[in-house]
Amino acid sequence: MEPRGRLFRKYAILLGALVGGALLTGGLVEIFFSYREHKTALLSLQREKALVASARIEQFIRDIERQIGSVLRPEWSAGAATPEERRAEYLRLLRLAPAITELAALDARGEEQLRVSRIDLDRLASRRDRSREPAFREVKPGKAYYSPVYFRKESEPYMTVSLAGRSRDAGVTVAEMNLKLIWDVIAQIHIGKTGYAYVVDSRGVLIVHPDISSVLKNTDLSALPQVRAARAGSPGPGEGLDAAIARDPSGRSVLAASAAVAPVGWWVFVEQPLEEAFQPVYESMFRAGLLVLLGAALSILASLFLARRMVTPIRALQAGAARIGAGALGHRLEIRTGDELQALAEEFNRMATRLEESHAGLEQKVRERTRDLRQALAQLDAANRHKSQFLANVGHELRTPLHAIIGFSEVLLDPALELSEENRSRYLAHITTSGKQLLGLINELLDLSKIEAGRMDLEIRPANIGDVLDAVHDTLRPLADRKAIDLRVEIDGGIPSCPMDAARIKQVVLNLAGNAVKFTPPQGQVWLRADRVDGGVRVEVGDTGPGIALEHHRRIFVEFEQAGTSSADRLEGTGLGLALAKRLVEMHGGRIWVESETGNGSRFYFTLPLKDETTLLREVAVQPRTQRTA
Amino acid sequence: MKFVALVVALGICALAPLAAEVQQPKNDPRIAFLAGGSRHADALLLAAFWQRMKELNYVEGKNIVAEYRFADGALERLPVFAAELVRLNVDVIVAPGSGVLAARQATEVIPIVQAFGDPVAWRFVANLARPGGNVTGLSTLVPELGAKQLELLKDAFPGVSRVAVLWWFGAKQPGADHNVLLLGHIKTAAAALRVTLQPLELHGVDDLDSAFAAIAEARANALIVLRNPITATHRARIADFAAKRRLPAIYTDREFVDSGGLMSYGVNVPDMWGRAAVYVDKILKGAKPGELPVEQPTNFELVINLKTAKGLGLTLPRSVLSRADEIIE
Repeated sequence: MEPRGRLFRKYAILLGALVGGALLTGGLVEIFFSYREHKTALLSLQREKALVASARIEQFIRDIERQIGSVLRPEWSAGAATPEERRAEYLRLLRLAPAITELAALDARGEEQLRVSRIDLDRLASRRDRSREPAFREVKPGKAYYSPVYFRKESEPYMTVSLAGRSRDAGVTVAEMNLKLIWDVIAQIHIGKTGYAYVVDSRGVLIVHPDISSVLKNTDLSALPQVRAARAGSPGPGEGLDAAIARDPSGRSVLAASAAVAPVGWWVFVEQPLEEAFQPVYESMFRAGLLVLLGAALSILASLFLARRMVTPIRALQAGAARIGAGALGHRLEIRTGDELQALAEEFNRMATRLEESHAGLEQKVRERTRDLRQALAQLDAANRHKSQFLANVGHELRTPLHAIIGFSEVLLDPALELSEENRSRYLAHITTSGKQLLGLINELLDLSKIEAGRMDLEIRPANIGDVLDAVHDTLRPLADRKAIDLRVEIDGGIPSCPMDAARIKQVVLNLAGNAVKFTPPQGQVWLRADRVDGGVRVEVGDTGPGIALEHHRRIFVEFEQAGTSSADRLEGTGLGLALAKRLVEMHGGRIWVESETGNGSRFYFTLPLKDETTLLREVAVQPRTQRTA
Repeated sequence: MKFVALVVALGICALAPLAAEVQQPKNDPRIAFLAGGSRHADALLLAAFWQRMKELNYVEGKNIVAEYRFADGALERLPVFAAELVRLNVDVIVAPGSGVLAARQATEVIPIVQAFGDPVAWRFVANLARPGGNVTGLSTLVPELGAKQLELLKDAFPGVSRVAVLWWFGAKQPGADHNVLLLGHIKTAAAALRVTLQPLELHGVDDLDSAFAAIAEARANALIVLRNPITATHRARIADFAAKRRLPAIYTDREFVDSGGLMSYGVNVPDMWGRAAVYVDKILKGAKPGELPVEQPTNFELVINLKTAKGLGLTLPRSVLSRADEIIE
């Protein structure tokens, strides 16, 4: 059998209870009604039989009555017929009415005038006094008298019937009637196997019964409930009382119906033992009950089966979902029930697929983010290292002129040393130079940090780049002359004014040109050029110096990086100038780059846009540098 | 699914006994006739019996089997026959008085239906209402009829004054009382009707001739013949005698009249045998013989043979003729 999950049990019980309950209820209702119908049918059938029996008995008696009445001739009492004629008439009647065994004529005084018998000798005019007989005394004109049933030779039921003429003078005709025919009728009534009929007279005494001996015992049945009820009810002729459950003389429960035999006041009872009467009912109830039970059993089985069918896909869903939930995202549910459960399973599968995809996507994203993070970390690391390096370099750069200042100062202050005026001046010049160098470095540092902190304010005004170039040319002329470097400014004519912070731009050009002059060997050339380009102005600072290797083009714009990191490669200069120049140019919305090869001189360019794009720059300035070095 | 199959199987098993009603095949019932007379002589009676049986849906050879054991007058063979029938284990034995005696001695179990005679007088039954035992049937003895027969004779022939009565007393044989009782009533009636009686006792068939002689000598002018084995067997002879002597005679049953007797008043014997069929039917349907009351006849028929009357040169009055139940021409 199938797993006993709670859902299964619930469904099985519910379905079983519903169907079984319905069947049971239907079956019970059916049984109840069929029982009632059966009972009603039985009772009516019983009643019908009683009525039929009573009708036949009544017919029999009335026939006799009629026949007796036919010989009741008023004119005879007047002596209109001879005894012989009367005898012949009586004998004729005897032939016509087999039930009449004896016929007698009594006159008005009760004296027997004629008696004709089948068995005994006829008596003619015996004048026997029969006035005391009830047949004479109790008969009334127009109404027959019926005596109680008596028995001849203890086996044949007889009854005396007498009829009176209309007037007192007519006399009375008395007949002895053989009731064997009635006995035949009663004995032949069979109800089922053990049912039977019997007749009681108006007193409730048994007069006809299939077992004649019980009649001979003069059994008084007036105490029986059905007899009592019949006598109390007293329906009219041909009517019967409704059949009911009663008791027979031996105490058994029987189904009894009765009908009256009107002329004589008898009652016919048709009885059947209750068990036998109801046996078909019980049988059909039993059959129905069995069918109901069978149906209920089948329904329970069906409900178990149905519950199982319902629960299996649900369990599959549950197990599958658990598996997916546990992480087996590749698992798919296989449910083919062709209904909503299948649709649910398919949805589940879709969900699992999406989960899988999004999981993969997430993983991908995680990988990306991790990579980004790692990069950021690496960059942060690099930046940190850079910062440390920067600090180290700054420290070194700061210390170097300071050492010189202190060193020269100590020398100058050392009283032991005898310095010439020339040396003293020279030393003082060194101190001044170092001081200036230090100041220049600190200024650049401050500028850089201001820019990094986003607090560098530019004063943007339209200015002429030519003026800036000229100013730089003038400043560097003496230095260039000393190294016999050809320094010149070349400007195109129609260069408009650009919005710029002229001082800062000058600083930039000064830095670039200063580097050019510094690194170009004597007899070299340095030029400052400004050109009009699309959207702005381009400034070129070129030289015929040693050039910068391609691999260093980017590095040189980074703090303290020169074309070479070892101190051996380093020339004079703070290493911050280009970094600052890059920042300043980019703050203006321009670009700065270098074109150079080793041994072929260098050309530094930077652009300045014609429109004021410095707002952008502010944002650019505060963003970490790492973004710009993609 | 196995469970389902099991339940269904159980259900069928439970319902099967209810639904199926196995009919046990029954053998055809077997009845037997055991009588002291001859089958030929009793042909009418048998015919009447089978006629009634047919009305009750029994057809010999089709659904009922019959055995016949007739002693043809040799009454000592009856016990042998009875034992045979008991061995054959027949369902019912139908017999007149003599047969009933033999059957009763042979078995107290097999139901016996007495078709003729007086079971009470012969002590086959305890009483008429509840026979008890295994014998039931018809009591055809009505002693009072004797008086009626005399009355009829007087009604038909008012001049009758000396009446001879042929009767029989077979002490050891059943039926002996029958005639005696009848005779008793005849005597009473004779006194009332003022006729002289000449009872003639028969012991055997040889007594017939002497009886006839005595009747002739006594110059009787009427004859009453009581039924007994002797008169029954030799009824033709008796009829001849009556015819020769021009004696009006009345018999106890119509068989005599059929054989030439003048008139009879009594039980319709074939009718009795027909009623025996009713008993057989009831017993075959399961009734116990001890609980079936013995029937007494209440209808007696007057049968008149006009041919005989003509031969006798006698005419019967219309009053009597009109009372006849049957007139043979």
